[in-house]
Amino acid sequence: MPTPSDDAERRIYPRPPIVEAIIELRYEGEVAPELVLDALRDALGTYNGDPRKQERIQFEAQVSGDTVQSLTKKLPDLTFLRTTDGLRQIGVAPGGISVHVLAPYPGWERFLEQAHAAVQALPDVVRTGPVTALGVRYIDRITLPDSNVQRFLKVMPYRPTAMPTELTGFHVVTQTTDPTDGTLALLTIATGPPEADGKPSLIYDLNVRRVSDHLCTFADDAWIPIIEALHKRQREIFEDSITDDLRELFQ
Amino acid sequence: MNPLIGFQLQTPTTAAASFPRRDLTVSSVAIDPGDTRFTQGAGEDAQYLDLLSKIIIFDVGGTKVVRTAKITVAKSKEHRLSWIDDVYSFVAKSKTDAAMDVLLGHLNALLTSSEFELCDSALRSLDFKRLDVTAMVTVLSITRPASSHLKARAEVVRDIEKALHERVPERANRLLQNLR
Repeated sequence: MPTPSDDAERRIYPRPPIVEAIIELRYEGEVAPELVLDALRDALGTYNGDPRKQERIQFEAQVSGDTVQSLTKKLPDLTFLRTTDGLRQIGVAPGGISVHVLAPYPGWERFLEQAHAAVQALPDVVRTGPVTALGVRYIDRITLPDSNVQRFLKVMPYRPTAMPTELTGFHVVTQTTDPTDGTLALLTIATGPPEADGKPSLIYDLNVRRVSDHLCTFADDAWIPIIEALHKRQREIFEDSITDDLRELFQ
Repeated sequence: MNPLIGFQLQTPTTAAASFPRRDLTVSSVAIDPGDTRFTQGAGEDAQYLDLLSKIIIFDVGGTKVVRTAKITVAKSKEHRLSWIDDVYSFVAKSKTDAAMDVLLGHLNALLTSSEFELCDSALRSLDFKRLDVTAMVTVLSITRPASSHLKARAEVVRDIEKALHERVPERANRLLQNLR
């Protein structure tokens, strides 16, 4: 596997707030997810925890006067292969896989290696076909010493001064697209669930993706430079979103 | 997983009462973990965000009315391997003794209590970029007697070998002696 190339520019925090990191790989074709699951299971011995199946729930309701009619459908959606500790997972869905690592984050090199091993294990029919989307997503949960979020994040929207002073909740989603290379960034910042000690927390969720009919193929590791570029972009956005006061919390 | 955990729908009749007395259709309740536009997450925080971002759109006589869902998911981000972050933190501050105390204490406790799976989890979770040479050698040293029980150790040996050859090429082979 090629060695990651941009070490010099990387800030490596002793206590990164990462609770989950995901590499997403989508491909063209109607390859049955069961075929992909079997190939991954056969090749990767470490994912021998109980797999978790996730279903899509579709719900419709109609209210007319005092009558409520509802229809609920359960559709197969996603299967997660998991290590016994659940800290590493591979999601398999129609048309794609996602490689997950949960805290503690083992670093980009080991995470990318995990994704590389998964790609190597894909059936040939997938590996030789076009890659249609690649994505990197990091979900951070950050416990703050106080609720003055502006002291820690540079990306909070303006609040009119006439609004009450105490910020008790927020959920801001920003989506941008780069017309030069088609990179899409979806940034979500939101109030997190309160910590056990009552301290406020926030969630910083950044998903950077590139989508095309034919981005590359998995052959010759041609997907890795694109994933590396998305990872670099993700870090640049993150670093530009936070203040030095927040960086202090990661030491 | 039950995707309905923590999700409370306002009863349609209550909603209807707030609006003109016309037929009310919940046209979209997006309890939909398979949104292909975005990269799907697997952990609890991803689930929390999924729920947070879902909206219920009531279609009242052609007027879309948006209601947000109420979220009740709250979990601690602390986990059984949180001590690894303490090691990184001490290493970053060059407090080698403190880092070794934490590293040795926890790995030793896992090994003496035969918690080999959790020890494997710890080994797979180590980020060598955040460890110094002493810590890496310590990891190899303390886990060597239990190597036959530790499935992740071979991978760790390979990665530490590579890291040591990059960082201290002149000493790497000597440091690795009898530790593989």
